[in-house]
Amino acid sequence: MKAAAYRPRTERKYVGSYSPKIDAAEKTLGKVRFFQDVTLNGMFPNTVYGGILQSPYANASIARMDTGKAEALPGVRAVLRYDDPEIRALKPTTHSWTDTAITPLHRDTLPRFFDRVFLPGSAKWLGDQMGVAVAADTPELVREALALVEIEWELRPAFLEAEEAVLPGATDLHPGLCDSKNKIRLHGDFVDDVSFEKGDVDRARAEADVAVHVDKVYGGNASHGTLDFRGCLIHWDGGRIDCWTNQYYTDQTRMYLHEYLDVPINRIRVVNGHCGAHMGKWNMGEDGYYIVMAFLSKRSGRPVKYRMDVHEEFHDTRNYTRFEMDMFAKSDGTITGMDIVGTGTLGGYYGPIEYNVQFIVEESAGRVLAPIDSLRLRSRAYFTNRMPGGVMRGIGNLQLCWPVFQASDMVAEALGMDPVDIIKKNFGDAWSPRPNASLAAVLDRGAELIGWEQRRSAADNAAGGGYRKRGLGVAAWNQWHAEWQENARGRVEVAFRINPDMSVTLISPTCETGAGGNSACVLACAESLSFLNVTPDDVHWVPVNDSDTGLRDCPPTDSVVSFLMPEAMPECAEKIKDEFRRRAALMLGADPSELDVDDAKVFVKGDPSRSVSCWSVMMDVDCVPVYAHVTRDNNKTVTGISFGAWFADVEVDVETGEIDVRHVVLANDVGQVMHASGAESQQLGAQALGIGEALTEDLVYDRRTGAALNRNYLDYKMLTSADYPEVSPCLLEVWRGAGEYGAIGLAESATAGTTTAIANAVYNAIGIRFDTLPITPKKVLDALASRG
Amino acid sequence: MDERLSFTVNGQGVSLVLGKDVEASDRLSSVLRDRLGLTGVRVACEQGACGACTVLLDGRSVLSCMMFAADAQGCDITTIEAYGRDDPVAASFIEMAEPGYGTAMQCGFCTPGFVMEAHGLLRENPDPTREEIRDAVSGHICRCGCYHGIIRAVENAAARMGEGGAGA
Repeated sequence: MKAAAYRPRTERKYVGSYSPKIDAAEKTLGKVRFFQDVTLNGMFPNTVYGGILQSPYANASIARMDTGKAEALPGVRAVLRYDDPEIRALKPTTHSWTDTAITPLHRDTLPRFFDRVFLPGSAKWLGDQMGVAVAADTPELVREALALVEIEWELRPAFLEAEEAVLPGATDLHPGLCDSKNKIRLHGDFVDDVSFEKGDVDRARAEADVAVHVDKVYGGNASHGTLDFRGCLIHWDGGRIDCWTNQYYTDQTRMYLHEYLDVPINRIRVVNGHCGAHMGKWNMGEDGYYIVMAFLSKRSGRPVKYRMDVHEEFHDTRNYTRFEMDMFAKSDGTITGMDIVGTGTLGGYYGPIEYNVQFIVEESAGRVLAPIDSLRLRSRAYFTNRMPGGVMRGIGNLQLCWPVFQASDMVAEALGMDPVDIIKKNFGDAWSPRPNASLAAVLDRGAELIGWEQRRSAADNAAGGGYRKRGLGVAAWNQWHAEWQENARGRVEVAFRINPDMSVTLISPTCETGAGGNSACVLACAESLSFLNVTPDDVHWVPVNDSDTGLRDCPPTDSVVSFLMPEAMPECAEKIKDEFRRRAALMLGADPSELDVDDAKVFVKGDPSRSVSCWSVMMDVDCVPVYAHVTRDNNKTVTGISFGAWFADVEVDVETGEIDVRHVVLANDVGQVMHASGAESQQLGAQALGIGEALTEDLVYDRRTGAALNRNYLDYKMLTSADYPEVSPCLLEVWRGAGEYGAIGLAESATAGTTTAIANAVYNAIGIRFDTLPITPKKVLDALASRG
Repeated sequence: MDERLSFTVNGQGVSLVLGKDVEASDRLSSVLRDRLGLTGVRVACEQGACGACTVLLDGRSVLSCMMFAADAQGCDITTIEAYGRDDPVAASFIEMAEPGYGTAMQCGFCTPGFVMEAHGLLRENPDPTREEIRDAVSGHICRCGCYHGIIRAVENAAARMGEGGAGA
């Protein structure tokens, strides 16, 4: 279980340390305030509760609806119908992602599939929020009122697979967005669906000594599974909107409400605080309930609180992605080309499927796949009546790693080479010399920790005796993002306030979802203010984002808060120093340019005996805090990227089909470790997600009705301590980015290779490859039986 | 005379009028949170799957979302609010930063439930093996996946309490 502590490349006072999370005490003792705590009834005495009908059918329309009985129920304060003129006058919306633009209607928003309307009259998946919404005095009354709504439905057959979506009987779900029935019109003018091409794939195919084919599906059956369910409390009172929420980005929420409700931004206040994990969920546009609750508030004249229950929380899944892939290689182990078909199976609405079946390959052509000369990608995606896909931690990267590194494993076997050597030889980035030093370092370190030298061939393992077969597997992927890849995020704001007692208030607004960027920010703040003898214990990080009074928050996505905000802090600290010099100049009778600050004193350069303590400067006359604020542009220097490697050691019971993951090692080169304990925690936690997706997490559909049958936490199996194996996290600092720290994202990247390494290890154990997840005992036994 | 629901919470007596302050059908979790303001009792799944709402009832861990408040009549209830930084279990969760173990929490939503479960375990079994700890907390979901840190924190708590740490 225990791995060696990492060795820092640069000795720093606080940044990179093994230390507790800055808010560990508040979290442990239950003092952190989540959405459901700050919106208790006592604080909002007139609050009523909101709810929206969840469609009981996967593919249906309302022919007639009678809300009379619901409206007559005592305690019901407002009923909003799908045919309400004010609702129908609203602009349509789309999934919107913080990384591509801030809101659905933003001019630079990349997904421009306006396929969602608020409170629609038809349902496109079972659970679709549609038809009617109610505000009432209690949650029980809300449920009762919704049950009293009488609906005459027009039912249509549900279809769940891309192959069914194009059949004559299938409903055309979004005809205006499609090239042909249910086939979404992706960005670009493609011929024969070819969305990306480099080199000469046909030549690579013709000249290959080895060609392997894989057909792999990843997604559609895993969801975020977090414990802090989505919600909002909205009060639309006259011209002003107040909104408390656990959505991770107050600025995006504010802009969203502004765009759709036509209320000036300065009259919208959005407040969030801590959030109980998010795992990628919550991208504005897909969460229509904010707008619906706002109207319920306006109609009822009350604050309206809405919080999903466990069933509603299953609201989107990891994007359902299929990659059919041919990989070509020469006999010396050089991979020369890949011919890929990416097929996305959308749910009832658009999730960011282009990223999975289109952009991830284009991006990877400059990242992990850069050394491969020839690539061709065909991209297509189809609407179905599944639960929609969405962003989930590691989006796209996991799905593409899955076929690529199983195919490379097959190439290695076909050529009798070590899979680690094949990876070193063929993968890297577009900016660094080959072989890539970062990739080689993580592979070597991981191989050492897992005991890779003991690995035997799949044939040897299968031929061995006993009913428990042991196997080792490997996968690799690039880390994301480095600072230069974060231009779409825009500027980042931080502020320091030095109080008259020399304590520090740090305003680096982000929603703490567990990603731990706040801990890194506190360490970096103390580091940058070391001339004031500030320690992390002196720094208070402000945990609540309030769009009325705070700076714009930085969403905790792509794992970048932990270094993007710290990169702004040296400049902020310099401004603090300037202000101390300016104020002390009057006291010391010197020009500010003659002064410097160290050891919490301002002194005359060349004559340190002429000095005044910073505390005295603070106490002089008015006790006004010293404050500095920085809005920082990204450093756009292209520095390349770094890599991670995953190794799995499994044992497969060929009598029960059970897979026992014995040990997972992951080595990630992060450029600069910002907070070692937090970083290792992310590495460890990501394996819980990855192993869960590999072995147990599975939304099961009833194909007749289109219902996902296990939308709850009893039957949707997430890993607990009983299932979590030995995991060894290993941090490296080999590559370096730009800036003071030059770090790269870790928390998302740490998920990328787990499932693939496990699948390769399972193959190594029993000689069978699995194309879908999770790899259940039943699949293992069926595969063993069919092999004979 | 009004029918009352009486119990102690964190050492203090509570007496609520049934049908007025509290309904017979109210869950213990909602009474603790909404009526008494003990929001460290986290509520998520409301189906006994996640463990976030765990409290101690007469020293044993229970899921407060899965029982009626009325069934706690006369009981001694302990919630996370009973503890401070000096509690050996809480301190072990707070301070977890050993290389290789990460931290004992990320988002912190599930953490109070784990701490209460650990208290229940260590009360019955002051010197548990790693396997016994793993089993004891296996009814809790930490979606952030901090199981290494959590199990290590409980081991450290047992060691602290064995050394005569406060709060044992």
